[in-house]
Amino acid sequence: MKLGSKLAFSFGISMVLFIMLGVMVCTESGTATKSISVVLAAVLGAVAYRRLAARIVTPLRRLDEMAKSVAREYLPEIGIVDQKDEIESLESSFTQMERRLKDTLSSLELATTRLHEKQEKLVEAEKLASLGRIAAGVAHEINNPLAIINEKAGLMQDILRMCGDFQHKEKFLNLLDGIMVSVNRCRTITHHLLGFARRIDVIVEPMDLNEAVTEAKEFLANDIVLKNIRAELHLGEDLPKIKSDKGLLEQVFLNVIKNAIDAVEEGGIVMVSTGVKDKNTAFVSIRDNGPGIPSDKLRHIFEPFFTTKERGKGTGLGLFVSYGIMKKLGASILVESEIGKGTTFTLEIPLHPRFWEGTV
Amino acid sequence: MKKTKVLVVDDEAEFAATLTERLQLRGYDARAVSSAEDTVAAAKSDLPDVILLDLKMPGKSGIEILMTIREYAPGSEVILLTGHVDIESKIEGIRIGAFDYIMKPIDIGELTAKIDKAKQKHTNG
Repeated sequence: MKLGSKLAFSFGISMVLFIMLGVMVCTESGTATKSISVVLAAVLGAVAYRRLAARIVTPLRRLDEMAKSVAREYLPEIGIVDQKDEIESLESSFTQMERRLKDTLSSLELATTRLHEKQEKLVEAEKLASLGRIAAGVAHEINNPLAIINEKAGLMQDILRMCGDFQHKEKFLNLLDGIMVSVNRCRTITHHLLGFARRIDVIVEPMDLNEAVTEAKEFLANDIVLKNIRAELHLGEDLPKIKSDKGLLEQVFLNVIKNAIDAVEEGGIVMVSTGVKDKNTAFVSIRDNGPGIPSDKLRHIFEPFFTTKERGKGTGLGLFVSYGIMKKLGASILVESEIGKGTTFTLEIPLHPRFWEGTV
Repeated sequence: MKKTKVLVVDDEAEFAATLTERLQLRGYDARAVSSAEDTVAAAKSDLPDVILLDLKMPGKSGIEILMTIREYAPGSEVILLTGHVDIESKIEGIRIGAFDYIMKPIDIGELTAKIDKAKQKHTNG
């Protein structure tokens, strides 16, 4: 029964009781004036009662309809059954609306978190791209004077070698050798930096990822033996041949595996696994049980000249260059680290070429 | 045996002069120029066997100079000098007819090997 009908019913009962009471009073007193007053009061009461009911019921119905429409729009799977009266119906509609709002809120929170993560990645990529451009610009400017130093020192060596013996000749030649060695070190750095920004030769060919990983590990066999490390290979058997640049990927594998070897203590473990992530992507993960990298350092790990190694042990360009290579191949490089437990680098590589266009 | 004639083209005059001297010490008939105009003039008058050409020149790009050289000195072999692995310029240069390229700072042994190979191609036609 609807609330309006309930009110009308209650009103009817009250009126009957009221009139009966009026008639009883009139019969006892026997005065017509009294009975007229009672009837008048009853009529006035009825009008006020109807108005009051209309003022409560109409907004209630409207509110109920609104709640239902919210629930219907966002929660179509729930059938909305007309309830016994407006208040019950309203309560149920509000419950449904609340449920829907909770669902919406939680999916909104999830979407916001994902958006935030994507934004962070974009900012990180843009930061690295800017750093890459700056580094390449500096490297280019340094490369020319470096070439002059190289030629001048080279000419001095040429002339000295043509000269007869004189005091300190050997010393001069050694000093010049030192200059040439340093120039070569700088050349490696400038070429790395310039390579990050420039489109370098990418040779795409069908290749076996497992084979490339194995080769990279074998290349580092000496380092593994010298440090007495256990290097485990877990190669995914279902890994199809991929189309990518083997040389460039091997360079990345070498960089990352070498870092893992450097990170662990003597007797540590470096675990390299390969496999299929999804129908378009293969993965290579390189895990070490080294000391781990604190989060404030982890943030900068792909930046140029950032290194956690001792001074003189690393140029801080390995991961920067690796990041650039992965971008060029349409692949990605991710890092996770836990203090005291170790670090894991995950390389996600498309099975087919998906070139990354533009300069870093 | 006739000395290999080498024209070194680089807007860094210090670099060009020093490299030229080192090549002379190694028995090459080398000469340095530092501008686009001098390059074209020297290519026309000297008819060098090999031209070492810097791809970054003020005024004209190395590729433009290379095209002019091909026009005026079609017999000269060109080795591009680049500051980096500039793949687009390298491909474009080779397409237009450069013999090879070398990255700066230069390893003199690698350079002379390339010059000799270019000369050989030049002689064999």
